[in-house]
Amino acid sequence: MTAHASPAVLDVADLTVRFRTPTGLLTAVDQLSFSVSAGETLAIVGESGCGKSVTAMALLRLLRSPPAEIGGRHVLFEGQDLLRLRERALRNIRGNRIAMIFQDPLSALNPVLTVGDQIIETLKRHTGLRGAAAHRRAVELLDLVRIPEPARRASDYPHRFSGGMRQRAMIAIALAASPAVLIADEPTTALDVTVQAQILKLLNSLQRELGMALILISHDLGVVAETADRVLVMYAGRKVEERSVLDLFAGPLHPYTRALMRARPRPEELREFLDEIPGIVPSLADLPPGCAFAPRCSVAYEACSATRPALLPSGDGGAVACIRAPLAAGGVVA
Amino acid sequence: MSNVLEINDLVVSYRTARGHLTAVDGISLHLAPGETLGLVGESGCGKSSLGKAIVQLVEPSAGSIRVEGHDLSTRSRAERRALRPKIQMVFQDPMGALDPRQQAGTILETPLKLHGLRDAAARRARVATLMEQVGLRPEFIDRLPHEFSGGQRQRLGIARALALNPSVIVCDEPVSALDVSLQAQVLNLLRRVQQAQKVSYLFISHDLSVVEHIADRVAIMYLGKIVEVAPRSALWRTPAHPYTRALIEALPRTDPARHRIADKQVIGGDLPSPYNPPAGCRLHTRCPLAFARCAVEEPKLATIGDGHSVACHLHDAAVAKAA
Ligand SMILES: Nc1ncnc2c1ncn2[C@@H]1O[C@H](COP(=O)(O)OP(=O)(O)OP(=O)(O)O)[C@@H](O)[C@H]1O
Ligand SMILES: Nc1ncnc2c1ncn2[C@@H]1O[C@H](COP(=O)(O)OP(=O)(O)OP(=O)(O)O)[C@@H](O)[C@H]1O
Ligand code: SF4
Ligand code: SF4
Ligand SMILES: [Mg+2]
Ligand SMILES: [Mg+2]
Repeated sequence: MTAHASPAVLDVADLTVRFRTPTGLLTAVDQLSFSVSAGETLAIVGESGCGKSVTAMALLRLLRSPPAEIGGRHVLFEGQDLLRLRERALRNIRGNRIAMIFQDPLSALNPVLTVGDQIIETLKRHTGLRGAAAHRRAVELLDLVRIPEPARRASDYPHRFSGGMRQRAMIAIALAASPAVLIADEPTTALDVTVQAQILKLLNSLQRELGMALILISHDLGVVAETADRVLVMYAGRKVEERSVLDLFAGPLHPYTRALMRARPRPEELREFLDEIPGIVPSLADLPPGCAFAPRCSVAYEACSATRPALLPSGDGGAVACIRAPLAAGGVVA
Repeated sequence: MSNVLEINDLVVSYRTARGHLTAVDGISLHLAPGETLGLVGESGCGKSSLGKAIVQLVEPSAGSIRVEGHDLSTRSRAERRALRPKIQMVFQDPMGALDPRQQAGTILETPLKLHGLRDAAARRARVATLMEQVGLRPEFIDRLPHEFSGGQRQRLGIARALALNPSVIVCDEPVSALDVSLQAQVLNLLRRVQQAQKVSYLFISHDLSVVEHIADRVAIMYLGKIVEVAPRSALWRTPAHPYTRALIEALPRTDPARHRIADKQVIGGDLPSPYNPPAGCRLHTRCPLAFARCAVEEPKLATIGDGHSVACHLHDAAVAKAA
């Protein structure tokens, strides 16, 4: 089975983001390639600082430059290369064809506008809708994201909404212009577990209904396992593994992916001690040569620090960047 | 041996601009020596308020807290102060809990000084032991909190909590701000410390999988009330309260062949306002099994098995049988 059954709506090739900082140039995203198809959920997972949010922002060129320098082969979307598109043309894509939602809905909502008016504003900006038609559509959207009594709640200000309802409102705004791609950056990290499940279920069903491509960014392997079709694991700005969700969790190939899974407490399988990953994530300004995971990897040997491991096909439609991956895989799958 | 901590009918309330709020509403719990009790519940249910009352950071409005048999409410201020070293706290945000201008060594030495360890050499030796115990290298002694990584700062917070040989440590979301890899390091450290010196933990978290890992027993809290308490395996295998079941169902699992979000039974609604909690059973506005009685009568916590109690009208029958 290949991982890309249908053609990609968004195709990213060798995306690289560098920051010019007082202490030097750091590479936050390093030659990252991926694509996502309509109706598909691609999850990007990794620990804090691995470059997930910078990747999302770079796709829509939302990073301030300087200090950011965005480069790469291309970011293809609907026949256009977003890396080379003029700012004005890009503005028609942002929030319209490609929408984004973030971790903290309150800071993304305008506190002095009603939720309904904020949706109407988006509708005005990105669709032809005005007046009563826009209002009707705003209420429909609130209903779509399962906000009870949507007509009444449309005239509420954001502070009257609970955390979960605010995130629903953000989703409604993101969906206002019927985007082809929705990027959700840790959309449930600030929410309680029962509300998180509600929001993920909502995103999942909306995505199926609307045939959107969803890029879900998360640090939580559990969220990823339950929601994604395909998973991209990042470490220190690089893709270290990409597999279908079933393949990844049945047999992770990269030692970092494996270590992440074993460090996590699992109530189904109680252990006295969790498997620690020694050390901490390396500083991007000061990455080790060769494999960035080498200083923490339990199966590293000299060759790992000599050259950067190439991303190679894993034989099941996925890819992995580890010179010992085939060996390591034998050990895990067996 | 008797319990190191006993809480009876504890109430913590706040007066705010919006009115009167009862964050902890008549909670009873106990903690045996060397035991870990996990306290799980969603944001705002009152976990930290309970923890802060135990370490005397907030004054309870009613109820009692007994530390090694001494009832805090009947003691003088000086006696309460003398009991303080027995119960320490580790916070979610180690940065906020540590003085940013103090070096690690000073942070660890201060409680020793305050509580009467006069010999400077002995203090230095104790600081060195503490740092070693939590896995901080001796040369880190001069570092300021911001010069540590998040995981290292949490180690420092744990070392400070251990300084005075407490019998109980209230761990309030100690790993919630940490990545999985650091979370594993800190959870393992807490377990090693407990094995070495029999300290008891009240481990507060919103993450049931972390609590199932670390705790011997688990208490589930909803809007200021304990709704279920059970040994950790019973809680996981035979959860009795609809809210506990909802939490377990909502927990993200790493087994996509069996658990997908589309198939989950997700409990609806949000946490009601604590200023105006629902009458009767507080879950009745969200509970899929609620019936008429739930809206009018509050269920009491009743025993349904060995160390297993639940507060839900559905279990009256079970309780009657057990009695
Ligand atoms: N404006 C900036 N200047 C310099 N460095 C930056 C800037 N923005 C981000 N970085 C760095 O880029 C790296 C990647 O950051 P990013 O926010 O993408 O991480 P993340 O994977 O989203 O982490 P988290 O899970 O904490 O959200 C980090 O090391 C971060 O410090
Ligand atoms: N000092 C205070 N003054 C007024 N209200 C307070 C105070 N501290 C907490 N509260 C309120 O009491 C309730 C319980 O808060 P508490 O911090 O104990 O909850 P929690 O379970 O620890 O939540 P979280 O998971 O978000 O940390 C909340 O509604 C909170 O807003
Ligand atoms: S390349 Fe070497 S160091 Fe890197 S993950 Fe593979 S075995 Fe470990
Ligand atoms: S008492 Fe009623 S509302 Fe409360 S948990 Fe039990 S069934 Fe649900
Ligand atoms: Mg981020
Ligand atoms: Mg709290």
